[in-house]
Amino acid sequence: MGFMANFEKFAEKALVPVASKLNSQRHIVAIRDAFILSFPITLAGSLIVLLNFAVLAPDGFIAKILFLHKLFPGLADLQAVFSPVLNGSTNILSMFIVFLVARNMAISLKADELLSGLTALSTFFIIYPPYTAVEGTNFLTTQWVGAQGLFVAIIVGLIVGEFFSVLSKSKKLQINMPASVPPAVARSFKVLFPIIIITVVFAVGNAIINAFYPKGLHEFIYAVIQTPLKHLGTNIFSLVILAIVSNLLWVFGIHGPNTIAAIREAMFAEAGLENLNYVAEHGSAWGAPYPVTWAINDAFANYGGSGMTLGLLIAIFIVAKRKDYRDIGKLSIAPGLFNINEPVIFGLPVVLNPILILPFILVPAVNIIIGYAAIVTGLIPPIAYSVPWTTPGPLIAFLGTGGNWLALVIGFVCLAVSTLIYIPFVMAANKAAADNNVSSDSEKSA
Amino acid sequence: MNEYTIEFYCGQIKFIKDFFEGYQDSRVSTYVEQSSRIKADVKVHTLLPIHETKKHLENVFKQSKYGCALHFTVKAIDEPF
Repeated sequence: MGFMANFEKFAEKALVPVASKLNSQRHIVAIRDAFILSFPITLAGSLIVLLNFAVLAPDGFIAKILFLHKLFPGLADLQAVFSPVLNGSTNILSMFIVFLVARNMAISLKADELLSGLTALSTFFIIYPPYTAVEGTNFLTTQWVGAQGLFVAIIVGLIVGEFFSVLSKSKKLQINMPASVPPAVARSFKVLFPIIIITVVFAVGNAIINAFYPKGLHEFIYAVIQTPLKHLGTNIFSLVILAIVSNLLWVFGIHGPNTIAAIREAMFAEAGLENLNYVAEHGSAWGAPYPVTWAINDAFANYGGSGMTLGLLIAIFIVAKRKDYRDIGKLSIAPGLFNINEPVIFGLPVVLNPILILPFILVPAVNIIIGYAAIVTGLIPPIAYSVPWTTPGPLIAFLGTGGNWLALVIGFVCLAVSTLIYIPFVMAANKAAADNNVSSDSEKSA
Repeated sequence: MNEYTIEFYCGQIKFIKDFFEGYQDSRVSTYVEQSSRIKADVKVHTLLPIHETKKHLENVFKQSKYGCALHFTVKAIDEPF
């Protein structure tokens, strides 16, 4: 039995059950879906910040191209209108996450999801650093409601979601109101005792932790868990390994991006958000604190979809002699421009194709390293803006850097490199098809 | 009653075959007509129109034990990708 057949067997017997567990384990699903649900809000914030600097700032790339500031002299004043946008998205992301994680937990445990989420949000602030009085006014620090509070938000969301769901199902803890009471009131009273218990437990736990660690729970979890994980995530090796694992799973029929989503978010979310906050503050991606984020994968290694299959399509148009390849290539190019690659994945196919598996995994890894090298050598700034994943090819790098033209050029270089890597494999597919035709002809004549 | 053939594509086709062989719920009943390495033709008996049938089959498989982990695509026979 060859390597391919052995690996297929291994994928079926071992990888699929593990991936299935990862994709259905309620804690992992709760975290993954919380980030997915909050994504449109962070993406909207990112796009508005991008437009704010690209269109309204005097040195914005769109403003420069269209001479907007000559046409509309007061345009820069409008920047102040959109400046607060991140205050309602990434700067309070931990509040979304704590609510959504607890809500998702309650959904999977069939409990009251809204009150579970609200209880988690309430608990998040019970353990929050206390108000600071300055000249008679109380201030609450915003340090932990954004990216830095993500791990506390996840942990609180999981614990509250779990306990709220279990406690609220206990008949002994339910207060059942008469039928004449309005449903919203009855619903609230039904879970009153579980909420009181959770509130008391967290208040006492917080007091105990503060007694031993006066900086507080947020600071403790940030130092002990979140910072080490962030360092792991902002490392090129982690980025390349995660990309390889994701693409390897993909070619064996397992949903790679979904399977690694919870790990990916835990490792990369804070760094990505801090880069976005940096550009919102400074108006430029130059000097953004984290050169390595998952955004490098999208900006340089995902054109056409997983495996950078836009390069494969170009390789097909250049060297493929097989009619089936060329037909699928023509069919795939339009969705491929928007990074949708089902036609090429299942049409050629790429899945379980021993010839195309190697470049499918290799190309993204090589392009991540090219993008990383361009950033760390200072050729281009870090990818700081979130861009929709359906943005065509090299435009992701261009927009992600806030309109850096060299990033666009490097995006095209990555596309060219991916095409060059795919070409010998497409030629090998030509030869394999020719060999098959010869052997089937000789079988017929025999 | 309508009868359709729905094509499932997946790198782990065994799990799709196992699921749809003799599958039945209130809206559809299915069996696997034929399969190859990455494709299974699923014959469906249903009152639903074809696009709803496709969506329904996709959803019920996604909610199954392995469906959430697998990357697959669904199309009606002769429909382009």
